[in-house]
Amino acid sequence: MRVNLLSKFKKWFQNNFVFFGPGLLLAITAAGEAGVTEAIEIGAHYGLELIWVVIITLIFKYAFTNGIARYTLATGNTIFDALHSLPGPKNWGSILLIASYLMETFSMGAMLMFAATFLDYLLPGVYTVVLLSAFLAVVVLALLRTEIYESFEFIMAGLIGVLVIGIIYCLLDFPLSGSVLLSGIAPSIPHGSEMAILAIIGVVGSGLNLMLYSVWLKAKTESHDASGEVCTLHNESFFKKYIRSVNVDVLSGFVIVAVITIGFMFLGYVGYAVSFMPHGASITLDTIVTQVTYIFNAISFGQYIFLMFVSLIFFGAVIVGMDARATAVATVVHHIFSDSGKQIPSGKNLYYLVMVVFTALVFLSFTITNPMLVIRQIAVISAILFGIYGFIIIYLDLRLPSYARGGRFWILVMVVGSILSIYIALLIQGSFLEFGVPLLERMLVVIVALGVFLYSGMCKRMIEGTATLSDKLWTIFLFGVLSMYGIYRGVAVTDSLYGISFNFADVGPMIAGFMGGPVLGIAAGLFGCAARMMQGGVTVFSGSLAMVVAGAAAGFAIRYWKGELTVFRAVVLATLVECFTILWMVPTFGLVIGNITLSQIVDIVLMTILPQMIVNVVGVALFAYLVRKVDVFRTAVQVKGVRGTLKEAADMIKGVKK
Amino acid sequence: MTHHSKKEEDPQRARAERRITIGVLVVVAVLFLVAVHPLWPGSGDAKFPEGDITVYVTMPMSGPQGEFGVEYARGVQLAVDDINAFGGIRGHRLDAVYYDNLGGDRSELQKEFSDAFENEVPLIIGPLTSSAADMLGMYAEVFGMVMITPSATSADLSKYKSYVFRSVSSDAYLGIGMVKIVNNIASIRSIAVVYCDDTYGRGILDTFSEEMNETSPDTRVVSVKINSGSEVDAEAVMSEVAAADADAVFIIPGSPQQVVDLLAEAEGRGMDLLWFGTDNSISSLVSACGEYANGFVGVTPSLKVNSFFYADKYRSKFGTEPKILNSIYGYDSMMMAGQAMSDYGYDADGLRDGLKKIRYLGLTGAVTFDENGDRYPSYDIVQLMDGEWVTLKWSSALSFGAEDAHGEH
Repeated sequence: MRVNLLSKFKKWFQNNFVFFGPGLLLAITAAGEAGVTEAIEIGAHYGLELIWVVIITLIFKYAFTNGIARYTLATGNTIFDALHSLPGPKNWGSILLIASYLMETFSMGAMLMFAATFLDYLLPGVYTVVLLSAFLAVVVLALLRTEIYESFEFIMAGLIGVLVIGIIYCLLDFPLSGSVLLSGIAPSIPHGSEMAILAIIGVVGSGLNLMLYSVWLKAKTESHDASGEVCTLHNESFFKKYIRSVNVDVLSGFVIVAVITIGFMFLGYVGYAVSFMPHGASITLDTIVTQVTYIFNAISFGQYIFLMFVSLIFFGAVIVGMDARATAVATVVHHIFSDSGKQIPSGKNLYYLVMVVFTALVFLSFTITNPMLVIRQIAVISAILFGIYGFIIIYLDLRLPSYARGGRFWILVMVVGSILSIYIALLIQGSFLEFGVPLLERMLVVIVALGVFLYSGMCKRMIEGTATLSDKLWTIFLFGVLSMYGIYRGVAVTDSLYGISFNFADVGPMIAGFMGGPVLGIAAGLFGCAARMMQGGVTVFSGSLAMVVAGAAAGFAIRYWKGELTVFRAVVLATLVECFTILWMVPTFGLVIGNITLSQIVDIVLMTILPQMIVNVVGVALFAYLVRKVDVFRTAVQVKGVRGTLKEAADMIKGVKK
Repeated sequence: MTHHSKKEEDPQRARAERRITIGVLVVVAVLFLVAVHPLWPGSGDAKFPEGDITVYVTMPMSGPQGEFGVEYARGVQLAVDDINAFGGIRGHRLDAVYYDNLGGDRSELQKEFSDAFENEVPLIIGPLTSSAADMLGMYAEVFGMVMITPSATSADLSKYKSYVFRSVSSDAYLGIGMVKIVNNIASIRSIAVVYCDDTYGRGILDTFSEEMNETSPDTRVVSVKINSGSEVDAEAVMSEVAAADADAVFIIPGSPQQVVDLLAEAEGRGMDLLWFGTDNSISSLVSACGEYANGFVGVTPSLKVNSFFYADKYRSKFGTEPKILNSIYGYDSMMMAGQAMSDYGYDADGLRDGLKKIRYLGLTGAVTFDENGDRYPSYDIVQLMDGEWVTLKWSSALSFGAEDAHGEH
């Protein structure tokens, strides 16, 4: 009877928990890293007020992982294969992923600095953290050349388990009331907490390496025949066989992450409370160590255990993280190159090549002396990328067979999670909400005017090259006035001492440039230039010339592209123009003329770059989109082509006649 | 979770890879030599004299503060013994010379300082009180000699940013901590701060009032000045407290005797007050005050000893139990200085640089010095219960509401 029950249980467990482990392991190790790098500090800052973000993040990441798993089980491809074949510019998904992982490598460097700092407390003597970090980085590389590192994930999970038990024991000394927990569940955004919220979204429940779950899942579900060929049949029954177990694995992992993360937040909270630090005091890694080790003194050798374990957890996280990311990047790079038929190093050599690049970035990150800041900034960017990848996964999901598609609730969670990531990012860039949105509203007027213009005969003649002088003058006037409108309807920065206003004055000259070449672009820009000169302010010269530069750049670019304007090209050009004018012209003119200090320049650049760039890029991109929509360019180019052919034919005939 | 598979390669490639691995390990070893210190000191040019090296310790070894001074000095001596047991500092035997500064007497301090200066001793550990530390700190800054005080807590000392360090937390934190405790008791609407009129008392009063105003502006704070000696006009002070209609008294005394006198006066008047006090209230004199003093809450620099062996060492060295545990701050001061000296030399400038960079996990917990040479705060809360000072659990001293979140990155 007992044997029967046991075998039944075994069968049930195998059916339901066939994947039990990796998701759990990934989640627990990630919870340990995020707990120390972010949750303690966030707890110290905001108490438990941001528990709601942890919960929403984990629900979002559960849906995210579920989406990845469904895609992998239904198609037999990894998510990286899918990124490679997204619509739009070639390989953009793959390039975004490579860029994401390269960026996250800076976090790896910062984590090594964390490990070195904790180690510094344990080692007798005075050390340089950067040197210790470099030493650890080389040890990481040496270990990656052996097989030992493969067991690090298990070691880390074990250490985190012990650490969490220790934290729970120590926290028994402190009052954690249900009402405090409940108050944290109610969504609120404490003043100045936007970065912390994004950091939670970025790192809690794992960073972008969450996508590696797909690689593991593919390997696990593949079976091979005698000749070594993959012979997995991806059908509905295969999908249903595995998805439940995957969900159990991931769900249990994220529940544990929630508990661990909230535990770490509470640790930071009480650590701050008992430290007697004043209101608004700055929190550094060393203050956190002081606070947390004080709490861990409740356990015999608790301080040593905490510091040692955390050092090892970070060290292990770097080993596992670098290996996983290098594997993923090597796979994606391999895809890109093999598609284009170019020769690339073999899989293993490519892996080592990527590792060399990663190592260089890790060493580079040591030059940034504040590892907390590095981790925070990377986490923030990761959160925004999660928003983008969230939409990609929704897109991929909609193309799956119906049995594998996510339900409405899944889509809702993904959309809310993705939008939240991007929305909070915009909140941080308060200047965009304050100035960018009103500018976009005003630009709608421009769009309407553009729409009317695009259907006019004058527009058609301009592009076909049959425009009269009157057409050209009218175009200059129209877009010059549009540029002036952009200046006068710009949004003044009321609290700025520099007399700055954000505007969309570059849009008009750039469109004129696209329509009629550099001369028209410059001429239209001169209208805006004159208007801007009359406004004055510390950026008067750079701001005025910017429109002329924009018009010229668009004119030359359209010639170079032989009249072929795409949205992508328009976006790239407008971005470059804005970067050039704000990042180069403003500082150069300011310093040469001497009417502005370096710190004022930094203020102005930081204040203006994002709203100004977004608005002008959107304006130009909309024009490019509308142009293609009304097909005016294509027709015009065709006409130009036909004309050219006719002209060549006529020349030939003339030549023959002669 | 995913690992790159290491497939079998041809023997030539395997040999090449082995060579790379060996190369990497050699680099690891070299970096180890550079980064891990005893083989390669931080500054690279650490200076040491021939023979033994000496540090000076200045404490009140007699008089009313003698009890404290002796304990700190004993802590220093235990550290010196431990350092010498491990071969001294870079092979030099360490010696500590103890001075009785007679309670921080000005001329004694001057004499000790000039003696240390003439003998090119780069480090003085001490003195005990904030006023003495203020004076000696000024000399240390001007003449370039490192001073580490294990006990002087005045916030004012933070003005000496180069050569003055302390292994105990500044009073700037104590006043803030007391606000957190007071705010936890809803019945306190008005509090009288009875403070001694010196840098110590005024410093704590300022931080307390500032933090209270910031976090609980509705709570009324009334300040009552007393002199910084051991005498107090208890009747006048308690009259002022009564006139202020205070619910609680936070006392920052010049000596424990003042606390005793004020408690007696309040008991005589039948005043129902909650009593709070700074670390120098936590004395056997106060605990002997009887039932009225029961419930008195004090805040003291953390005395949780991060070691199993310290008490045994103390007993075997001095043949007695430690009277107070504060000696651990003396021990940590000497150990940190020893480690910094080992890497940066027996030289005031080197020692200063080493202390600015050090991260140390000692008997008193994790220590680093901020830009002012102060350590980050670490306190315990104690309460008088049936004539005994008992360390409280934080759960009984603090509650956590969402409004407590307060840090800034």
